[in-house]
Amino acid sequence: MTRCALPLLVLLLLFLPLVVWADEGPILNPELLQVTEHNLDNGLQVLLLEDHSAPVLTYQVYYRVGSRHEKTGTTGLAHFFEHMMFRGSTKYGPEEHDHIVQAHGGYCNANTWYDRTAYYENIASDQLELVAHLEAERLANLQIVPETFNPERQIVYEERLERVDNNLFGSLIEQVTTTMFQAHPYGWPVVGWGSDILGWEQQELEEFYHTYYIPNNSTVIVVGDFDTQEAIELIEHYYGDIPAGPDPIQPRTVEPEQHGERRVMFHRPAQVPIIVAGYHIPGAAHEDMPALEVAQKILSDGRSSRIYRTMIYEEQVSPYAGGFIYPLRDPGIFMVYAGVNMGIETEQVETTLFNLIDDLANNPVSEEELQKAQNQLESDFIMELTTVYGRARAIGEALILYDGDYNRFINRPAEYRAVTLEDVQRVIGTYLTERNRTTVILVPDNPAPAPSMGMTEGGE
Amino acid sequence: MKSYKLLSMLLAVVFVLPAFDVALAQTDDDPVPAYTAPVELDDSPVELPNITRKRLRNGLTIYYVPQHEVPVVTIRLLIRAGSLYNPIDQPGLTYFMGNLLTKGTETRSAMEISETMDFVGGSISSGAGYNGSYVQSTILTRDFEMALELVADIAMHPSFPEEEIERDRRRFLTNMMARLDDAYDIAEDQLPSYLYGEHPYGFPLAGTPASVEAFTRDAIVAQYERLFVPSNAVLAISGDIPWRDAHQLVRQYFSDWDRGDRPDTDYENPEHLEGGQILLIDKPDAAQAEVRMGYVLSPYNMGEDLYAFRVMNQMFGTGGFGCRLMLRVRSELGLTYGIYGNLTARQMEGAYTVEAATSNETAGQLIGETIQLMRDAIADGFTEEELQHAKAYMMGTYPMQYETPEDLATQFQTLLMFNFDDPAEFIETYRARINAVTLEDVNEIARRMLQPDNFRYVVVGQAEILQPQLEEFGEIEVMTIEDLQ
Repeated sequence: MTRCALPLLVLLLLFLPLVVWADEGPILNPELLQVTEHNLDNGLQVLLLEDHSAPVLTYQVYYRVGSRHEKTGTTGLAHFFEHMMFRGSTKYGPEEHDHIVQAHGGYCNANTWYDRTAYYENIASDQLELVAHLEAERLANLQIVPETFNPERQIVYEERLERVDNNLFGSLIEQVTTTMFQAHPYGWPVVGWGSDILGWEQQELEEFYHTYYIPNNSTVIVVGDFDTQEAIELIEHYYGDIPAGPDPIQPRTVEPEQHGERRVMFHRPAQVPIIVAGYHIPGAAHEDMPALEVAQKILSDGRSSRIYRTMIYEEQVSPYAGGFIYPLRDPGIFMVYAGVNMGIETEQVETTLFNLIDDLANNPVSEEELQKAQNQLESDFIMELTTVYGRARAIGEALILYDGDYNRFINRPAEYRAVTLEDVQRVIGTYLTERNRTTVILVPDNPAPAPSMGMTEGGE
Repeated sequence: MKSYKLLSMLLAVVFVLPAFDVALAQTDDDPVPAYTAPVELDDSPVELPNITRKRLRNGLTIYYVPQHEVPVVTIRLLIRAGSLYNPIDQPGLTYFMGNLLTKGTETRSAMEISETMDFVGGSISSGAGYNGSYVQSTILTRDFEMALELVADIAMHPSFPEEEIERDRRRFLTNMMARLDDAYDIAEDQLPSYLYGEHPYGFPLAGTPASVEAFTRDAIVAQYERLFVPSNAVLAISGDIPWRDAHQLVRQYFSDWDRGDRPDTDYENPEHLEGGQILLIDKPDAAQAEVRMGYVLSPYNMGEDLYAFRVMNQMFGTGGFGCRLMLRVRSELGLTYGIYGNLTARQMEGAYTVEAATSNETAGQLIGETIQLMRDAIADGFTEEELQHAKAYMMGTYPMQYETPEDLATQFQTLLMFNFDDPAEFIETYRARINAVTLEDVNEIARRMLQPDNFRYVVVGQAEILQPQLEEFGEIEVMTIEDLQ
C-alpha cells in the first residue's frame, strides 16, 4: 500500500475549520458536515461524509439490533453475533476478516448495546473497496457451525464472569437495571444471562442471524478521505445483490410507570459499601433530554459539580461519587452512585446524595451554573468530532437514538443552549423522584473497621 | 481510582477482541481481488506535521504540534521523574504529591481552580506514574491563555494545603480498602512486590495504607521541589494555536521558573528473583481466577533489540491482534475473554507479564498452555507468514497512532521520558526499522527474552480449587484477604 503525499487541494482544505467559535457558542461549518445519503434497492442505507484532511477513513456498519430485540431464554444473542461476525463466512475462514484488515494496515472491532450492534474498520483511504467487500461478505454469508460457536460461547461466558460476576460495579449496575425494568427488555443484561449463554442452540442462532442481519436493517457510514460517487459505486457493487428480508418485528413492550422506590440489599464478601441508584427517564429523542443532560452535568461533571463538591470535598462522606445517563431509544436510565468513606454510615451518604437531587428540584440553579453545564456539553460535543471515527459514531448513534433522524446530531449544541433554569428544575422534579427510583446498596459481609485516630485527625 | 474504573467500564460497552486464524480461503469465481495474498509493505518515512521545538533559558523544552480543524488545544507538562524517585520507605509519595498539585496554589484554592476550568468546559488534571509526572489541560482555543497560566501556576507554585492533604489521605485509604473487595485490583496490587521485591517498582503506584497514613506535608513539598524543575520537564502544546503566539505566552508564564538540578535516583536495577514461585490469594467468592505471571526483563528502551522484540511480541503476546496467545488460549480453547503478554514500560528494567482471567477450574490449564506456547516459540521459532503479517499490521497502523496532534505530542514526551533522544527521527524511521527485522532476528530474541522458567505467579481466586492445579508450576504461598489488610 502506498501512501502518497497530500495533494495541494487537501492542504488548502485544512484551513477550512470544522467549527468556529462565536459568542453564542460553537458554529459548525455545515459544508464539512453535509452527509450524503444513498439508499440501495434492497433497503441498505448508506451515509457518506468526506474529510480529506488525512489519508484515512472509518467504515462503520450499524445494525438495528441490540439486547432490546432479544427474548427470554436467548438473552445475549445480539452481543454473541458481534463475536460470531468474526468467525468466518463462505469466502473466509474463522478470524480471517480481522486478519485481512490487519494485513492491510487497518484496525477493526465491534460493540453491542441495548439498541444496536456496530462494527468498524479504521484504515488507509485506499482500502475502501477491501472493507466494503469484507463487510458485505459477512452480512450475506456468515457461517454458523458448532466448531466455531462453541468455543465462542465459552469466551462470551468468560466475558460475563469478568465484567459482571467477578466485578462489584458490574454486578451492582446489573442489579439496578434488572430491578428497574419489570417488563421491557432493557431489564436484562446486554451480555446475557449465564444460563442463556450456555444454552443457545444452532437453530436459534440461525434464526437470529437471518432475521436481523439483512441489508434493510443496517446502515453503512463512511467518514474520511474518499470520493462519494466512487464509494456509492463500490457499495452498490458489493451489497447490491444481497436480498432484503422482511422488516424485523420491533419489541412492543412499554415499561409501566414505577409507583414507588425499589430497594435491593446486595450482600457480598466486601468491606466498603457502595450505593447505586437508577431512575427512569424518557427516550433519547424526547424534548426533556437536553435538560436532563444539563442536570447531569450540574450534578456531576468536574470537581465544582454539586455531587463532587458536597460529598467528596466539603462533607467528605464519599471517596468517589457521580452520575451518568444511558441515552436509549426507548425510555432510558439516569444513574447516580457513591462510595462510602471509612467511618461514615451508609445512610448518611444516601441521604446526602438524594438531598442534593431534591435540592435541584426545589430550588433553581444559578445562571452561571446553567451556563457552565452548557459550556461543558458543547465542548464535549466538539471534542467528539475531532476524529473521523468520532464523527461517524456521532452520526450512527443519532441514527439509532433519533429513529433515523441522523442529522439531528448537528443540533445538539443549540438544544443545550435552549435549556432554561425552569427546565432543569422541572425535569429533576419530574424524573429524579423517590417514587421513580431503584436503589441498590452493596452491604459488606465484613465491614471495614472504624478509622484509626491518626487518620481522622490527620497531619503530624 | 475506583471511580475511574467504573466509568471506563461503563463507557466500554461490550467489545469483542478478535483474534485471527490462518484459514484457507475458498476458491470462487467472483472477481474479487486476492485479499489473502501477501501485501506490499510501505516502509517510507512517516510524514510529521510542522513541529516546532524551542527551549527556554531555564532548560524547559517545548514542542508545538499544529492542527486547525477543531478549535481545541491540549497543554501537557511532563516531568521526566515519577515513582522511581520515591524514598524506599515512602511508596506512593510521588503519586500522592502529583494528585495534590491541582488542589491549591499560592494564589488559588482547589475550588477556584475547578470552578475556573469547569466553567469553560475544559479539563485540568495532574498525577504521576512510575516514569513521569504531569499537569495537563484540554480546552477550547479561546481559553488557551487562561489554561496556560493555570498550568504554569499549578506546576510552579503549588501550596499543598494541610486540609487538602487530609482530604486526599482519607479518600486514598478508603479506596485502598475497597480495592481488596475486587479480585482484579488485588492481583494488580500484589504483582509488583512479587516481581520486583524491595525496589520502588515493587509497590503499587498509590503506595500502601501504612505509607499513605504517614506522609507529612514536609515530605510532600520536598518531593515536589526535587522533581519539578524545568530542566527535567517537557511542555507539549498541540492543537489549534499558531506556535509563535503560544511561545510568546509560554515565555511570559514559564521564564521565571528556577532552573534547578535534574534529580538523581539512588536505585540500582531491580533484582531478577527466582522463578517458580506462586502467591495464591484466597478469595472464596471469586467467580473467576485472576492470573498474573511475569519476570523482570528489560528497560523499555532496550536499544538495538527493541524492534525485533516488538515484532516478536506482536506475534506472540500483545493482545487482540492475532498473536499466538490469543489464538490458542482464547479462540481455540475458549479459556478467557482476553490474554495479554506485554513488557511493562519502565526506565529501569521492566517485567514481561502475561495477564488473564479465567474460570477457577481452568487456571492451571491456562498457565500450562501459556508456558507451552513459549517453549514452542523458543524451540521452533515463528513462520515467515506470521512475520509478514505482524509487519504489515505494525507498519500499516503506525501512522494512525498519530491521527490527532495530541497523540503525537504525547508520543514525543513519552519517547523523551524513556531516553530516546530524537523522537522525530524515531517516528520517521520506525517503519523501515520494523521492516528490516528478519525471521532470524525474532527467533533469536524469542530464545533470549521468552523465559518460561523464570515466571513468578500471582493468582487470586478460590484457593481450594486452584491449589491442586498450580502445584506443578512451583512453590505455593497461600494468603487470605485478611493477611493483606
